[in-house]
Amino acid sequence: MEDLKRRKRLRHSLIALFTVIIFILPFIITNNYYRSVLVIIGIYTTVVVGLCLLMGYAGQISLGHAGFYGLGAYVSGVLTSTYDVSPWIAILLGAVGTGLVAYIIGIPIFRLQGHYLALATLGLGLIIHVVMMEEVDITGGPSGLTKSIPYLSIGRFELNTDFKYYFLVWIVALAAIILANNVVHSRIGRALRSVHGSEFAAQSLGVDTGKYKLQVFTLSAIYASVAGSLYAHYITFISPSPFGLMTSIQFLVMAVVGGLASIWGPIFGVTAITLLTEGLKYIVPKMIPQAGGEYEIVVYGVILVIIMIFLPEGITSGIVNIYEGWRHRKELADVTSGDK
Amino acid sequence: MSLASELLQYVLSGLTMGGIYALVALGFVIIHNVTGIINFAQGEFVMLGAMFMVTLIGVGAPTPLAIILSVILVMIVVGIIEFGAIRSAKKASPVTLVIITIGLSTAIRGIALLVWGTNPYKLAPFTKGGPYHIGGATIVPQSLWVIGTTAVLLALTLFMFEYTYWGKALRACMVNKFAARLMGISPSRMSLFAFVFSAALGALAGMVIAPITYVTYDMGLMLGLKGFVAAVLGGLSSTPGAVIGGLALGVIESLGAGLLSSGYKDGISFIILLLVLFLKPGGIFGTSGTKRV
Amino acid sequence: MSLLEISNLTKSFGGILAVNEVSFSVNNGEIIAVIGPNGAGKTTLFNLMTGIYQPTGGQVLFNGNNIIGMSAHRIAGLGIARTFQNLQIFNNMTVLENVMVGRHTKSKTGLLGAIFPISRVQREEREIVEKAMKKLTLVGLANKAMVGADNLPYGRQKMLEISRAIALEPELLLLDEPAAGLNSTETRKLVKIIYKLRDQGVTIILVEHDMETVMEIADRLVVLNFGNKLAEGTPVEIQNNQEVIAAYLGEEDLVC
Repeated sequence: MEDLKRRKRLRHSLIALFTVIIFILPFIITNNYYRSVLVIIGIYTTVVVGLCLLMGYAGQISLGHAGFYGLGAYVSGVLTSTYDVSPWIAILLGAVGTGLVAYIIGIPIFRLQGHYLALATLGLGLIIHVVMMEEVDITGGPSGLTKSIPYLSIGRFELNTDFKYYFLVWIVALAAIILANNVVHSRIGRALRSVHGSEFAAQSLGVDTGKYKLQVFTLSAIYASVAGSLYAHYITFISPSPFGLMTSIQFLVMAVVGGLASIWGPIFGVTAITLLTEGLKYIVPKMIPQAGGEYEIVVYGVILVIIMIFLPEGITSGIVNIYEGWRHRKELADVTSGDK
Repeated sequence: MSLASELLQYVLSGLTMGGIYALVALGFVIIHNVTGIINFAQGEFVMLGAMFMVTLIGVGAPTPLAIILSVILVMIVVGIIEFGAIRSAKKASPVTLVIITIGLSTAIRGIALLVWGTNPYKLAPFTKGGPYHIGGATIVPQSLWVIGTTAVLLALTLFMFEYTYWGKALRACMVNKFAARLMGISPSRMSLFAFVFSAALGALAGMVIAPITYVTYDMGLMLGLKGFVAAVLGGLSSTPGAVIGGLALGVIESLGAGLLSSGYKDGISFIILLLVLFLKPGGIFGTSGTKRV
Repeated sequence: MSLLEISNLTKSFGGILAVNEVSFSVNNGEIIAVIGPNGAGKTTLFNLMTGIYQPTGGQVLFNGNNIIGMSAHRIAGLGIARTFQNLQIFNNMTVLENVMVGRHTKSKTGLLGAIFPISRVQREEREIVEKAMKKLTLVGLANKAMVGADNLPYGRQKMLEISRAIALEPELLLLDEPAAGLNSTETRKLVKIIYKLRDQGVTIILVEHDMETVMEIADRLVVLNFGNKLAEGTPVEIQNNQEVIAAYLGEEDLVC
């Protein structure tokens, strides 16, 4: 099984290389704006890694991940600012609570075939948003929390700059990637992939398909919640607006652009879309002075349609596929020569 | 107002909204059965119908002409969309197609935002005349227009399914796509037909409801979601189920909002969706079939 | 007590009786063949026994427990494995991974273990690979372990399905037309594998059209015709059964 070990080693060394790059980056990039963009990319990556796991391995779409992201942010925000709960405990509570919500919603949905989850999560996301707007006593309503949210700190060391926060965010993002990667290459990852291959065969081998889909959905919601908490402690102020449907669609676009088959997809997708969004914010007002932020939504929609028509497996997978196609032919040659 | 007349009031306004949900649900069911896609852009068809109507009335078109032109416009737009986006990805997996419709609905909503802005528009009722009183409850003439239009469209839809070639072909496609193709029915032409027909239903729903609710660029989102809930209530594959599901959802929602809390009116339909999925996943009026290996 | 007891099992599809009041039992360590003309209900019988279809009536006792109404994955967990008439290979996985999925019910790692692969999880993973390799060796596919399953020729894909099914270490193995499409060398190999499995204590039911092979390996046969059980007995008894001959050759031949 040398081949198996070699692939595993390659995977691990790629992750190690990437980690080194990530930790060198903030020393090279000293501009605070660019650093803040990198922090946001790290936070979004955590969400999108979970979403890709859900879409790529459970074959389900979620339009409610901004809601889970928002739940994490609000639980952290409200508990730490209003009730003086320790931020780390609040993050944990947010993650558990969000996971529970996702699990309960998922129980009936994963008993069904088809794409009920997309609409159910769309509905859930809208409801969470409505609660943020309506429960003024707790959430501050549309204008957001009135008290400011404390920075995270490790002992006495307060993570109050982009530079310091960058490391925390990317340690979490890398952990998210590595843990997701573990799931993919585990008994559960195999079970979920087998469902794609043949649902009947998977069941006849004892794979409880609904159960694992539900678990992955819950895990992806927890990822989103943790990312939301990190966002709240980074911005230190939250209002409902960044947690609406637009953000859910943005996450979906990021996942789709990066592709679902590889752990590198999310990083690429998030980076590409974040840079595009930031670039548009800079360019569009110069070209069309009267334009507001509305064009973003059109751009996202068009990107979704175009990518799905021309590169349904995402941009990174498009490249991987070319490589796999080459490897495929080589293996085919090996198999046929082995038959002689 | 007595409790009885209050209840009657809720039921009447529930039936009004329920009619709209039914039309949206019908569109979902037709497209789902023919193509297997849950069409996220269904609500946007409703919004487009209402918006075109607002614009045409704004430039001085008489109401009947505005209605006809708006329906045709929406049908053309949706026809182009089906041809350009759905068809070119026909071999794609269902997940891919669903994401395409999410992209389409997002893009349509965004373009509507650029064209019509965020301000709500108000449309005058189709006919003048004061509210009518029935058993202590009041009903505005436009509600009668909504209920009437719903009834006429349902009758037309059923008539088409029952007696026209296109309707029968569509039904054949809904029952068994493969066998339909063997009979010389082209699934891709049926997909176009399903989309355009659903677009017309949605557009008309948008126009008749416009004078009662405000017209906004994002009205399609909620209407689409509720139309879907109605379709699921009806089992997602049955046309009568969709209609009954829509009317039932309208009434339950109206009663719930009136008797419990109006702030969470939109939450009620979602809770109903979850309850149905929990207790009777095949829909209240649906039947679940067996799949062959 | 017999390992499997099927009584009055019935399945109708919209009024058509695919399986009608079929009863028979299977003892531990037996090789049973289910034969019958096309459309006799053989595959439907398998689908009923593995929980893919729910029957209209009747019951199936496995080790004394009624398995009717159980979901397919639970039945697999009890120790019934199967192959499919139309191959259901996981084309998106390697040969080895296909068989590793077969170890699903024999391993425990849950989501937490998958996320944090502590040494127990890694040990289990190694064990899964080892056991899967053993099953591949049994069917002669060990040297193709890392190949994409969709790259195997048809005959080898059939062997892969068998090795995947026995990775579950079933008490009862259902083989749906295992010899169909195999050449004579491959069929000989298949027969050897089936004998080897029987020696390991696996009870086997197979649906098969290749009469020569069936008569050679089966201890007993069950003959189905239009969903009804026509006969049951040893190969010799079945070969001399007039009703069976009539069903296979057609009524006219009987009259002549």
